[in-house]
Amino acid sequence: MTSCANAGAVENSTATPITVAEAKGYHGRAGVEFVDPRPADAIAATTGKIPGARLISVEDVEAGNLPPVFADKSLHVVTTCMAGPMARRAATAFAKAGFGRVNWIEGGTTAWVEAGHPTVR
Amino acid sequence: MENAKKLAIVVSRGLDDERATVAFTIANTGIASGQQVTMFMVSSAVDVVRKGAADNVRMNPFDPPMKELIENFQNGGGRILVCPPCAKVRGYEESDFIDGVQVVGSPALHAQILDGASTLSF
Repeated sequence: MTSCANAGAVENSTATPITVAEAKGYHGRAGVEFVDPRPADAIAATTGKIPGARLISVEDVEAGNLPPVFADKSLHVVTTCMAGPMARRAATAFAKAGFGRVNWIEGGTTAWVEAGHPTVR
Repeated sequence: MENAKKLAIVVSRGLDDERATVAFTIANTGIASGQQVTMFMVSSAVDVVRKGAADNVRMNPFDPPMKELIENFQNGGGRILVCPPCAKVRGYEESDFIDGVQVVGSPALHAQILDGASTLSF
């Protein structure tokens, strides 16, 4: 942890699922980034987007094509999709990239909406 | 919170300087105004977030105690980062800091700036 250039990367990180209630508790906090890997038109046609979530495809996550904020590997990344499987794949890719704290939302944004939380289109 | 504004505050003042309190007061106001606030503690400011160090500190009688300011900041969604060399030179490990504090280098700060964060320094 000594170097000033330490970006917080973690080896052998693993992604784990969280409930919608847990995700809601993390939402809006500094250092927590929500990511939805679905195409924008698919999001608009279905659940809408969790406010503040960044739209990054699974392919871009797996290729490391990420916005500058993700240079900080100590960020807490929470992924979501319509129901969970694609979010899990994206979360696994973030963990493999060295992010030490990665979760996906069980049930995805569908569960988020069913819990009464807002989305945007 | 769609497109919430971000604020990054670099703090270098320790518990012998009132500006350490002012930094947390302004950080809490930032959260209250809807911003996502990250504090990056460097140099003497590292001591402010060491476990127990701020428990009995009230640097200005017209401000809340430091412990309360820090708790309010974290409970409100604020994030506290500590400069790794600044911790190392003082003999501190990550476990020496209060819960939630992350020891991580300047790439984390620059990532916030590149993401559009406003900056303040104390």
